[in-house]
Amino acid sequence: MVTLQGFNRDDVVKRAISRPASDGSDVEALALYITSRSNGMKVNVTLRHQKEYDTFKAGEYLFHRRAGQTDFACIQCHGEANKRIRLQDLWNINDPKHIGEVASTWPAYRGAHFVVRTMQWRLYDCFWQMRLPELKYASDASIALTTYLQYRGNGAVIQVPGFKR
Amino acid sequence: MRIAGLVWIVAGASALIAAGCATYPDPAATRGIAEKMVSEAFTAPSPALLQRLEQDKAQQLCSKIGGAALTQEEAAEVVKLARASIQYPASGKLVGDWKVGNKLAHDGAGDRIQGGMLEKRKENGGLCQNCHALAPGEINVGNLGPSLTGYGRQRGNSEAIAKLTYERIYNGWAYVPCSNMPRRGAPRHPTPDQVAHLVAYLIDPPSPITAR
Repeated sequence: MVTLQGFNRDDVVKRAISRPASDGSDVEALALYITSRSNGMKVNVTLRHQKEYDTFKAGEYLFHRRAGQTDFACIQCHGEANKRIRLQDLWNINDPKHIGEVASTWPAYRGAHFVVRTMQWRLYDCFWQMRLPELKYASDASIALTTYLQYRGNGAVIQVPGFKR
Repeated sequence: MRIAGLVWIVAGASALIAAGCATYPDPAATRGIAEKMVSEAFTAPSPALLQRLEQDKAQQLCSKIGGAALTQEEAAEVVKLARASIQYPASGKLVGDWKVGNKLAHDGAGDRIQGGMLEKRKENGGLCQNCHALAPGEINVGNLGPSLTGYGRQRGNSEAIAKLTYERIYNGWAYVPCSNMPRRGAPRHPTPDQVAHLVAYLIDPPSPITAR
């Protein structure tokens, strides 16, 4: 979008997460369109390139990195079976069905927001609840976490848009 | 190279593939890569808020990958740091007002950062309800932490129980190093006086958590 079409990256990123009940952002629309072309195929993240290994391992590290006043990393909420925050069920990274769903159902229509959300939004929202600073859209850390999650979900059949509460 | 994934599952971080192929970085290299990512990936309204990302010593020790166990020395250090962090209310009273504690325990808001702004409230919530069952009959409660229903009924409200309860809320890592329980008092969120109100909510006989 930046190199070929001349968009300003900061503008695109700034509007990447759309307002609730809006028509959605360009990035949300593109992410869903592109992912939907893989519907019916299996998630298949390879770690052939050294950078892919490094990113995967960084994602694993970040998944376990506790910080801030809640002392939370991802693993504190997503490491055990049958756990909830209030009434919200939490997926468990050690459950193949759960991590498969994580890897194959984003972007998803988020009922409470009346728009399609991307996994980038999901990560951002978790950091928000953890009382940490705001995760930049498409930052390397977000991509490392996504690489880790997607690799762990390899084999799940992609079916987007997913549907979330 | 398809085998690389399997090797990882079997041999973990020690996986080393034949020359010419990609290999996993060692833990120190991974840490360097990931910490650089963290330093570049976040924004906050002020440098002070950005510092929330920085890990203290205990958090570093408690961030082991894949649930790896602490060594005895590491556990002792986390406990020692936790013990040293605990502060008590200026009044010296560890049991505050259960009604205030009740409200705090059910308040899950405050101190979040969104749209370049810090969520400003008179008083930040205690967040207890997010993870713990509280008074009998409450449905909208989490289960990441143990149920606290009947906490005071089982334990009474002696001075020793008040102190134990206060310290476990203020910094539970003094008792269970690296437990999932946030060290509520350690970064002064909530304050010592608020922790005392939460203690009252848990052990004061008229509190709904304790009352029959």
